[in-house]
Amino acid sequence: MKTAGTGFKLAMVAVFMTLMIAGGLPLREHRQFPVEIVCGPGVKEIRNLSDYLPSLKGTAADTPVFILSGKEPGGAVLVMGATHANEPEGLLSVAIMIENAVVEKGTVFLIPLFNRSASLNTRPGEGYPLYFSIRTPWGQKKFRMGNRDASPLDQWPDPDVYIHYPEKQMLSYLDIRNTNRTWPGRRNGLPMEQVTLAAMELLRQQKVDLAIDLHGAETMFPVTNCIVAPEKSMRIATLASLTVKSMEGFENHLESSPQKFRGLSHREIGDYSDTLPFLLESPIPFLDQPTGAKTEQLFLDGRDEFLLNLSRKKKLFVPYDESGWSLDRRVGQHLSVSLEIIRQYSRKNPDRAIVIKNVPRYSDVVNDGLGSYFHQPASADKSRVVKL
Amino acid sequence: MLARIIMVAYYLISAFFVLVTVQNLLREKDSRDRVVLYLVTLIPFILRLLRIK
Repeated sequence: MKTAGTGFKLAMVAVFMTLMIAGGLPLREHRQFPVEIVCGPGVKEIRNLSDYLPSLKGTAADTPVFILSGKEPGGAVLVMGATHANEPEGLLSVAIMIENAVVEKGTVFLIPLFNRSASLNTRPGEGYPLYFSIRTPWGQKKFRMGNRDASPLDQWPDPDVYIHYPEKQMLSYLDIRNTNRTWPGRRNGLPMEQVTLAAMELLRQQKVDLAIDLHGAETMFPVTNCIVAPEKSMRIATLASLTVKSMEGFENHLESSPQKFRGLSHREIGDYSDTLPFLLESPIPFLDQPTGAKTEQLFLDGRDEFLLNLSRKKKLFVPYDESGWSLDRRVGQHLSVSLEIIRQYSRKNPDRAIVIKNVPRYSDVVNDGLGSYFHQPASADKSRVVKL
Repeated sequence: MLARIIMVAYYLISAFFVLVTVQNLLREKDSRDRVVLYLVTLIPFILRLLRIK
């Protein structure tokens, strides 16, 4: 048997150092990669979630809140993206609003990366790409692909069983890092409980009428391509669903928020504030388990031969054909449904109306491509560029 | 607060394991398999100490 001499040890250390640097550097770069957003003419103020809960200040969980306000007083809406950072449709929809929207009446609060720590987390074990890029008229715009849960670098250890506060329901240990299980949050809780509590404080202090949480889900999961709403939001959600179907030609069915499943935004925001919550799900073929390789292309166009086969066997919960389910469609749906919820609420409550202009709708995004609604950070006024 | 204490303790324990494993690696004279095993064991602790993963 050969002995482990100094030469062998040095050679092995060199091999392992090379492997660790080759594997570790991309992860480190991902955590430091800035997503640049160009503030449009509607952005009047930028705050942080820590302004509503100071204990978040200086942590990776703190995240910017963009405030767009109109000349006329009215109602208020909060739109959140990247509650789950592996569902970037929300981030892209909110970013398009930040870069383009002009508010004429009321106030719009926009949080593009609600779980910012999760956006710094990766999922290389499942073969997820670290980034994705979208084509714009001025070149490729690159975004971090995040994970569903906050990074263990920012919140750890996980409990054996996560006991939800304040309802005491027992949930999976992993969900303590999932900001769609930690609503309504806890002041002295773990960082993700503080993130949701900060958002609850924002909703209460600013008397926000509507909260829209943007998500995406597998095509094989029944709660996909839909609006999830509790009883108090159902009327507005129904009107929005019917209107986008009749006027814009796409389905977005309704799902009732379960009363006994705790921690979700569409349940707890409604139960613990006066705000009407809505959670939008768009279908993301990339998230399905039985697909081919998890490539950037699959994320962008949503085309997969295995899903197509399953669709023919009626195993999917959305219509699916050779055209797949593109990112443009997913983002377009989110924008149209969000605008429709706001419009329907404003019609029913004229004294609390919110009027937003310049936000593209479904057909605009599908026809023009979502990249055409992003502005080039390099040629923008530096004071208007925010790095997330 | 308790979670933060545990987090700090975890980093200290990780540093301790790195120290002990490197010590064993340097002392190992007989088995090449064990050298490789020590190096594999080190990876997650080093990645956590460097706050990479």
